[in-house]
This record gives sequence, C-alpha cells and structure tokens, in this order.
Amino acid sequence: MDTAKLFEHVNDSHVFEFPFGCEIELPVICGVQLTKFMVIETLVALIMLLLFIPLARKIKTGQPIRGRFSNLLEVFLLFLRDDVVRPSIGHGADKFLPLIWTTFFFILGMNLFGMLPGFGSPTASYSVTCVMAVFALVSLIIAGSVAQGPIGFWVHQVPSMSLPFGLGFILKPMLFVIEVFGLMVKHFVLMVRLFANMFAGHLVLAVFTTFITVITSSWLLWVCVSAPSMALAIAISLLEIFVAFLQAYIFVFLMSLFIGMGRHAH
Amino acid sequence: MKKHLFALSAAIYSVMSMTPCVFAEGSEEGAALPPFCADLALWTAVTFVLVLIVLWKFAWGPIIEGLDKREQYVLDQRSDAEKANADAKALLEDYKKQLANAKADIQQMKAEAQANAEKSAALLMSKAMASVEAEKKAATQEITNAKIQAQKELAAQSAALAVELAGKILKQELNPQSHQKLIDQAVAKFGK
Repeated sequence: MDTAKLFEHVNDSHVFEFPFGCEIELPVICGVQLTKFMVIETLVALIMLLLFIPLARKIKTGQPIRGRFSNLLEVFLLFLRDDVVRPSIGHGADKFLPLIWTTFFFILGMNLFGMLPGFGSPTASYSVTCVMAVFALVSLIIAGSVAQGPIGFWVHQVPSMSLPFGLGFILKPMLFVIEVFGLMVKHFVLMVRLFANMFAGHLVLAVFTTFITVITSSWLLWVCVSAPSMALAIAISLLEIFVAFLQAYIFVFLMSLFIGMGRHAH
Repeated sequence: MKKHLFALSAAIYSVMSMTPCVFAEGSEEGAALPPFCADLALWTAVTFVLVLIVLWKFAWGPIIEGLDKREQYVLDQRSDAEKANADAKALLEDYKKQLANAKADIQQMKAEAQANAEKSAALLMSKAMASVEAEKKAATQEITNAKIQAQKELAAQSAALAVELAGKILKQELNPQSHQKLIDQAVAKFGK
C-alpha cells in the first residue's frame, strides 16, 4: 500500500479526482495555484450566501417561516444562539452571533464537503484550522479588550489573589506568562482537535476503501476483503457525518466559552 | 480606505504568489502531512472574512432583527394571553358569585312561591267549602220548600177529594156502615 498515495486523497491537491478516472486540473491564476481546498472553501462560502440571504428575507418579517429546509436552518441558528452563545458569553452575547454563526456553518460546510466523492475536507488541513483558531483567538482578545479595556484584559489574565508583600512581584509575572501561554495552548488545541478529527476520519475512510484496490491476487480474496471494507467504509462515513457536525459544534462552543471567559475578569 | 484595501489585497496576493503550497506528491517520500500552506491559509482567511462581512450585512443582521421581532411578538402575545387569562378568571369568579347569588335567590323565591301557593290553596279550599256549604244549604232549603209545597198541594188535593167524596156521599143514601166504610177508604187513600 503506497502511503503517499493514500495521503493524496486526504491532503490538498491542485487536481480534483472524481470517480471513473475523471480529473480536473486546477489552473494558476495570476501566479496563484488554485487548490482543491481553495475551491471547496469558495463553494462553501457561496452555498452559505445562497442559503442564508434568502432565509434572512423570510425571517426579517418577524413572522414564522415556512418550508422544512428553512425551518431546519433556523433550528441550527436558534440552537447556537440559545444553547451555545448566550449561555457561554452572557450579557451582550448577541453581538457575537454573526461571528459564531459564520464560523459554525463555514466549518460545517468544509467538514461535510469531505463526504462527497472527489472532494475533500479543507478542515483536514492544519493550514485551514490554524486560521480558524487564530480568528477565535483574535475575537477573544478584541472582545476582552472591549469589555475590560486593552490593558485590563491582559492584567486580568492573572487571577486576583492575596499574597504576602513582595511575593506578588515574583509570582504574578510568572502567572501572567503561564496564563498567556495557556491562552495560546487552548487555541492551539482548538486547531489540532478539528484538524486531527477530520484528517483521521478521512484517512480511515481512505484506508478502508484502498483495501479494495490493493487485493488483486485472487478473486475470492478480493470479495472477502471488499465486502467488509465497504461495510466499514459506510459505517465510518456515517460516523464522519456525525463528527462533521460535532466538531463544528465543539469549535464554536469552545470559541464562545473562551470569548465569554475573556470578557469577564478572573 | 480604498488605499488601505488596495495595500491589503496587494500584500495578500504577494504572500500567496510567493509561498505556493507543497503537495503530497512533491513532498518527501512517505511524508504524512504537507507543510503549512500559507496560500491556503490566506485564502481561508480572506474567504472567511468576506463571507462574514457579506453575511453580517445581508443575512445575520436581518435574521437577528427578525428573530428579535418574532421574540417580541411572542412575548407580547404571551403577555396579552396572560392578561386575558387573568381577566377571564376574574370574570369567571364574578359569574360564580352571581350564580351562587342567583341560586340563593331562586331558593328564596321558590320558598316564597310555595308558601304563597299553599296560602292560595288554603284560601281557595275554604272558599270552595263555603260555596259548597251554601249550595248545600240552598239545596236543603229548596227541598224543604218543595216538600212543603207538595204537602200543601197534597192537602189541597185531599180536600178536593174529600169534597168530591162528600158529594158522592151526599148523592148516596148513607148508613152508618157505608159512612164508616167511606171514611176508612178516604183515610186509607189519604195515607197512601
């Protein structure tokens, strides 16, 4: 089994490989090589615009909306608002709704694209999840600085404690460094969690489906391997759909939680 | 503003064109992960920011506005419903009180009506009794008068019969036996 070939299916590429040998080579535009993940991200963005702008027109009236899909989307929006953003951030949470909604659906869209044959999950690349984690960190710093003041936010990173005279001068800078490091680690973990889940899931899928192509020596052996491989691939695909939603939820839940913590002093 | 946007776009473009992503096929043999792709990261950042701005303006803003409007509408409706419920409860209590009063009034009226009916019945009964008594008295009087009249008529008839008998006697030759016989006949006739 060629591992490099295996990773090609999970990693970014400048070629779209669709079933039945259909390949689309992506062009270089103005010196920039377009990649599969770039196209998928753009598609996700366009789909979001196509879904939510018409939905907004319906909801804007204030009347209950009609249509199963519109109601489904509204359920997601309300769930994120009522069960994620408001409890995590507290007072003034609605200001962060656009950021959280966009982050959730952007990540969810990228995760779900990995379930389509020939496409892939951009979130299986840490170059993408790193950006999302940086946005989460920047949002936290901005939200905290607005709520507590630019200096207050950093000062309040150190928990308030009553220390004997002199000891504070030694301990507080150390605590500050640890807390700021903790802040970075939290967002690093946010990046790694999303990337690792999506990458590992798609890698497992690729491994199971590659078994089918590897066994070529015997027809009977091929059938014996292919059938369980397909069954496992289907089971993992179903799990991956769940993981796609779960990881998007976990990302925005933790992002909201961090913003909420950043807006309030220790 | 336009200058800043232009500078930012130029910076993004230059970074993206200078740091092409290394794909798995171009990487070292057996390498699991490709290195960090700055162009993909920048593309992600730009796409995310653009979609955030556009959706914020054209979707999330109106959606939040609509949801708030609907929430307010539901709260207003609920408040109205609670008020209407309280009014209905008060009205129900009032009606219950009125019903209880009406029941008491009905009982009283029923008792009064029963007493009046009994009184009227007694009055009617006494009047009827009096009337019957009067009728009976009148009937008795009438019977008595009729009896007297009959007796008078009988007496007159007896007298006429006696006269007639006497005439007959006078026309016949009377002896003491026949005289006595006539008297007996007349008395017997009279007794009948």
